[in-house]
Amino acid sequence: MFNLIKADLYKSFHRAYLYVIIICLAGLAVLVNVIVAQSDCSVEKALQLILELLVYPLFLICLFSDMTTAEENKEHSLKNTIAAGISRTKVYFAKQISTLVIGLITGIITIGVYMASDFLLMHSDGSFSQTFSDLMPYLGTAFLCYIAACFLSTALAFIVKKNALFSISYFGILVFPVLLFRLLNYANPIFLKFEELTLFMQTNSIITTAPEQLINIVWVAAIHLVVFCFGGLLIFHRQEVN
Amino acid sequence: MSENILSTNKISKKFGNFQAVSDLDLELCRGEIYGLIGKNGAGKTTLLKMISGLSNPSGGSLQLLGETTESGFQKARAKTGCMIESPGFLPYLSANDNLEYYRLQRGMKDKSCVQKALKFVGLSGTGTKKFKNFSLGMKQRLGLALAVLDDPELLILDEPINGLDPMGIAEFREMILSLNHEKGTTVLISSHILGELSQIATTFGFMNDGKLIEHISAADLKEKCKMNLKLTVDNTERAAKILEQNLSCNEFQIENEREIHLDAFLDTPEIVVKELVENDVMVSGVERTGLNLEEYFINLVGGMQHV
Repeated sequence: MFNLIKADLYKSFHRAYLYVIIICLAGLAVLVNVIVAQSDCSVEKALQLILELLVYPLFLICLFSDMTTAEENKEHSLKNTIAAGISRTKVYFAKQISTLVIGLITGIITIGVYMASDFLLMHSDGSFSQTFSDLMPYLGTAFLCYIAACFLSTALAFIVKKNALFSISYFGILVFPVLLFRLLNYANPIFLKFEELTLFMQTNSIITTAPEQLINIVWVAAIHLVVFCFGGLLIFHRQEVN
Repeated sequence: MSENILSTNKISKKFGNFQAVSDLDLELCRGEIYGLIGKNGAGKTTLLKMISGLSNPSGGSLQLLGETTESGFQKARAKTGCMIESPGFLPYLSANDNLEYYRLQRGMKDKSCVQKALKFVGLSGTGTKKFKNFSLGMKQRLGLALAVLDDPELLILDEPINGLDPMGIAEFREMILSLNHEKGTTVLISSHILGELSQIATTFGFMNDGKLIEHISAADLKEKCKMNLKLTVDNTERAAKILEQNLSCNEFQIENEREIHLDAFLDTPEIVVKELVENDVMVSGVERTGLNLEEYFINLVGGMQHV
């Protein structure tokens, strides 16, 4: 499995796609701070602003699955891996982990640039370490939601051959249940509970949840993660690789 | 007796109601070049996909390099090189980077194998040129380079010469023959270009409607297809005696009371006719007959309307 991950990283870092994503996200991080700095904001307040942006990475995750998996499906190069006798389970989990690693690297660089520009453009009110440690449970919970979304995205990248359809399916599964349950809510208010249980709504609600209540989101994200992961694996095992 | 490297036992594949491969038994011995012949939709690619693990059989069983279990197949497939359908590679990487990706994936220690494989297929000079800018011939070569990257015992090639120019086809043929002769690689190859297959295959398998309808060695096929002179005469016994006594020829078969098939004098039938006529045997017909691989295949599947 380590060899597969190593090869995926080799492939991803040998092209402009990943670098362009990292540069764009880092540029956006700097831009946010440049704008925030106009209002005489402190480093700590700018850090808290991250909480308001927690839902957006959900939409970016499919870019990493595209890079590691969907593209191989599109270019019919996945068959070279399977035909070499590497088990489908290994390939599946290696792709999931590679996607996570690439996403993590991008995330760390983006947050690093965000914090560095924070310090360069703003002044600290002296509560940085307290603010940062307060932020950690939120970031940790959001990270688990991202892992669940990553498993969904990569599973879909294995299953759906066409690139455009893959992206539509990902956003569809992420957002469509929210809209569906919101509509069904008019028929029966019980559906509002289902809406709250969707991964999208759970990630969206992190900012308004008290730290001691975050565990509920962790559970829901973990259930999503297991369902997406093993559902995808089951389908991939039965699928014909072209 | 040669070691059996691959065998399928009533292997089958069904897509919905469509039976792509039906109870197919195939045997491949070490060192053979097995030519799989069949029209489009005969089930060749589906069969090769099942052997290489890209598709799960609906029924039957498989033995690959002595292995019969799923974990065994993984070990066996690691010793198998494949090129199924069109070669698929990452378009933004060069030939070297693409092979390096698969070298890392397979955990191969020897870094030089990438350059060796590229040199073997004549792609060592492509430098940083990306796969997306390759010609079809170059793509096919890179497919072969990947298939031979870790010196496979068995090479599975599905229509490897599709789209190649005559020069490319000849080079591809030489590469396959050199792998077979120098490294003893067993080759299972499917192709539509039957003339090409007839130049390299040592065994042929003919597929039609998902079934293997004939399995024949190249020597037996040559015997069945060989050219001969069909003589229509009024007295076959007398004609046979003249052929033996006057022309010292015994390479003939009496097919029926009016027909003799002669394996000699193919280029000089007039000598035979003159001798027979001068010895009072009436010759009412002389015809050169025989089949090439294409005609043999067409006859086998029941004529042109079935091709």
